[in-house]
Amino acid sequence: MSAKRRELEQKIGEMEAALAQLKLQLNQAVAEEQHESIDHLDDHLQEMDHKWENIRDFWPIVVQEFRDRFGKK
Amino acid sequence: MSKETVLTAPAPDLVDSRVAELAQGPTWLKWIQIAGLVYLLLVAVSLIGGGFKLAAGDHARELFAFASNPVAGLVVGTVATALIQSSSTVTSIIVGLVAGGLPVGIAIPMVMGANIGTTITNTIVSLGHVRRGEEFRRAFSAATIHDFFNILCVLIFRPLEFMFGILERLGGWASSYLVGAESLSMKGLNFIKPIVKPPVEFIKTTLAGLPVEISGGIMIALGVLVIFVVITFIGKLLKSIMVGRAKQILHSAVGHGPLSGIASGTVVTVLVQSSSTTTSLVVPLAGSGVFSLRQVYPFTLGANIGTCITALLAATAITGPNAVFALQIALVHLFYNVLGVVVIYSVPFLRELPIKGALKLADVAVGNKLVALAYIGGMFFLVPFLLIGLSNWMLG
Repeated sequence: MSAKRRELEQKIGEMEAALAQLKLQLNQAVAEEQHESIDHLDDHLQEMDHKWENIRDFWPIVVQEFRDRFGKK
Repeated sequence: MSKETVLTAPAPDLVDSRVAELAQGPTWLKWIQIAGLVYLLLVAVSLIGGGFKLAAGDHARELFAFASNPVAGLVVGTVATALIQSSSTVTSIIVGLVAGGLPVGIAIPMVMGANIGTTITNTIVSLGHVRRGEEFRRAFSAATIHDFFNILCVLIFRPLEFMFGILERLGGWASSYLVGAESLSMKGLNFIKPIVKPPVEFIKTTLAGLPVEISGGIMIALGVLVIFVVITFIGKLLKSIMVGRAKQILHSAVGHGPLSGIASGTVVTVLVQSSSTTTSLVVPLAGSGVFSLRQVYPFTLGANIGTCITALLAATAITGPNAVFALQIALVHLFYNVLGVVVIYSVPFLRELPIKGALKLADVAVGNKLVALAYIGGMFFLVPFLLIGLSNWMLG
């Protein structure tokens, strides 16, 4: 086995290990964010109670978009 | 609630204000209130069964003859649930109607439609993100993935049911086994009947002077009203009690794959007795980008399974010769949802369809909000009625 080949294999091994480490860190960061978001579940539940307000907010946007698309220029 | 808060708060409707009052106070008191509400639910289901039997007599099949059209029952279930915004309410009413003589074969498409109708709630919740483009894309797709899944489920199982009656047979076999087993092992120990019967009999006696059709109609209307109110109250109370437990379940599901997601969606829905609560919960989680669409997908499927608990509970209120049919339709609901998840989620091609559909629709809706509006109006109201017209025309 040539020295160059050994060197390349070693570099690939190191990069793969570093990549695996980064993926692990990313997964941990994602999981942390998800746990944090779950901790705010009460707020999300409250959002449900305001669903009719969502329609009230949505309506003018739709009307505006309708006017923009089909209204007289 | 302080006096000041009451005075400064906007005037809520009667039910909401009562719910807010109930949702406060010690936990033990809430459990007592829930027990009372469950009792009322059982009475209401029994009331619908008794009222329907009284009003329809032996003509229940003729009364619902219109629903023998392959899509009519589906439309009734979809539109009723979309209007009431609670599949638990609609399935409990269906259980009551089956107890009163509505044929199970006619009720099955209604139950399938209830699954579709209930998805309107989380779609409305997703509209709250409409002003933030990328967030709306994620939230809207997280909401509509449930719609696409339920439509796919109907497309697979409705024709199969129409041709072979698989679910009806499966539910029939399981219910006769369970009711049969109960009659052998628990004969004389049915404690539901003695506690549910007195109020139903009292109402029946009170209305005795009226023509049977009218008194039956009043009993049905009263039962529907009570179920609606009770399920609203139970949902709110359980949400306030179970939020901590739901958090624990969700925490434990993080990073554990789709099966854990399905299981946690099921358990959370059983705890809060509302699939729309569970599926609406994931909308902000996905909207913020913290959870991906693929991660919330199994959780919403679990909601379909968990919601079956209410109809099963409602079926326990029914006694007498039709008890087996009431249990049958509740079990059909369970089998339909479990089989739907198993069949669609285990076949990679089928599993991907709701994801692709939801992403595509969200992409279009972000650029054109009129599409979002047309989708809600069309999907839950316009298309169902067009389908009835089309099927009536095709069937001559």
